[in-house]
Amino acid sequence: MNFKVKVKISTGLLICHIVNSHDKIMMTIKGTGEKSVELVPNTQYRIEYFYWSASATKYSIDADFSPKIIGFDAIHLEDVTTGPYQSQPEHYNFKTPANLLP
Amino acid sequence: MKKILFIGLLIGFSVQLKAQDKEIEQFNKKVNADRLEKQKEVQSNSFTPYGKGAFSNVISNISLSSILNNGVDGKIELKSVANHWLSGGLTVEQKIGKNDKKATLYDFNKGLSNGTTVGLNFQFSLWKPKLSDEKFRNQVDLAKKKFAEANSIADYQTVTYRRLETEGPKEIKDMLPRIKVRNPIFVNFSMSFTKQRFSYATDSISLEKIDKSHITPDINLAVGFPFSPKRYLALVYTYSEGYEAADERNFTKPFGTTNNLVGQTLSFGNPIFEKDHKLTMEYRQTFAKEGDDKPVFAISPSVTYGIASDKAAFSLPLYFIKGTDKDSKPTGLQGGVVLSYVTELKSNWSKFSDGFGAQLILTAPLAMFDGLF
Repeated sequence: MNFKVKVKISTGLLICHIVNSHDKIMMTIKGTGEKSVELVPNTQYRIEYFYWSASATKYSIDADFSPKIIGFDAIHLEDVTTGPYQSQPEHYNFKTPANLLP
Repeated sequence: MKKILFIGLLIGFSVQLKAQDKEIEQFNKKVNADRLEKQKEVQSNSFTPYGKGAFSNVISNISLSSILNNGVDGKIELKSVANHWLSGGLTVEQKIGKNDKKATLYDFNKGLSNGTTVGLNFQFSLWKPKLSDEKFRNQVDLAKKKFAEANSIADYQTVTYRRLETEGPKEIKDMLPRIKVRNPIFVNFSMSFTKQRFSYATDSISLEKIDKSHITPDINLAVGFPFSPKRYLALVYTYSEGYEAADERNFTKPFGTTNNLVGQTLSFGNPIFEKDHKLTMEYRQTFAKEGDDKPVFAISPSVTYGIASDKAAFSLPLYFIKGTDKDSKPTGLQGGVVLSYVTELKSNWSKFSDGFGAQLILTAPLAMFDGLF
């Protein structure tokens, strides 16, 4: 199951991981970028990310299976800061579908 | 009678020769004394940070810094950001004298202009924050659910910790766990070369003019340790070389075989060479108005120690940030002042009035870590 993640940050540092239920990092994106990772069906994962910026910033994270899988909603995360900011760990839990039908 | 006349002439001649020797000796003494004085001045000049930060671009991308009574320094920086973790830049800087009306960085016939510095810099970030634990995530999820319910948000997971922290009611804020997240480390390496051209004489009799150019390097390695996005401590190593012309002197000499005299102003003596290894510790912090996170003021105190010269420099740049745009980035030209004190460490410390210096800065604009992103 090809899981595709796209990250955008206007300024500052952002590090985004795909982590499995055993806390193993499957994939990392640093800053603005796009990467894919093979995930196992019917398994718990999470997107965990951190960001750090000396000025106002905005970021977005878009993640989905490629090709798309019925029953799995694309993930969209975004936020804006108005000044210098150091984040706490941000996370989004998700489970890969058992059904692989596109 | 002839004998007496001859002895008289001999005495007169030897007195004149002695007087000439004395004049030459005095001239040499003065040249050496002036040279020593100049050497000290050169060392002091190479020590004054003139508003430079530990990281390139920290102050601005394009800047014009006015150094009191020393002319101005124009700088243009072309920055390339491969991604937000790595950036590189090319800088071209031109020293402009007090009386110059324009700055020429490059002349197509003569090449790089005198006083032009060309430099390259690379900056990258090292950051590996530790993953959160399950307890932390469960507590945050509880707070997210509560916030989502109260605000009719369908997917509670799209609520961010930052939103809970800033927009959530006290009850939710109190639920939030907090862990210490590592800060990134910034590394900057820069190398630049300056071309300097000198015209001088070393022979006081012929006053033959020598024209010579020197290209001197300046190497910097800076490592920055932020305590938060508003303040950092940086350690910098610098190796620099440079030349400075000896003081100019006025000479009067015969014009050809006529009885006329002609005046000539020349630097007398080889340009003074100076090199040093310097260690700098710099702290930088921005301040915002209470209840606002937009910076209005910044300080950047630093201490520099010259290993070869055994000198120390204390510098306190103060930046006044006029305004910021919607992204909290400073807009327009920013003003500032750098107060500095340079002293010898070998003997007694310099008197404050001798070692003190002030510089006005006009930059566009200051950004805390601009070069890094």
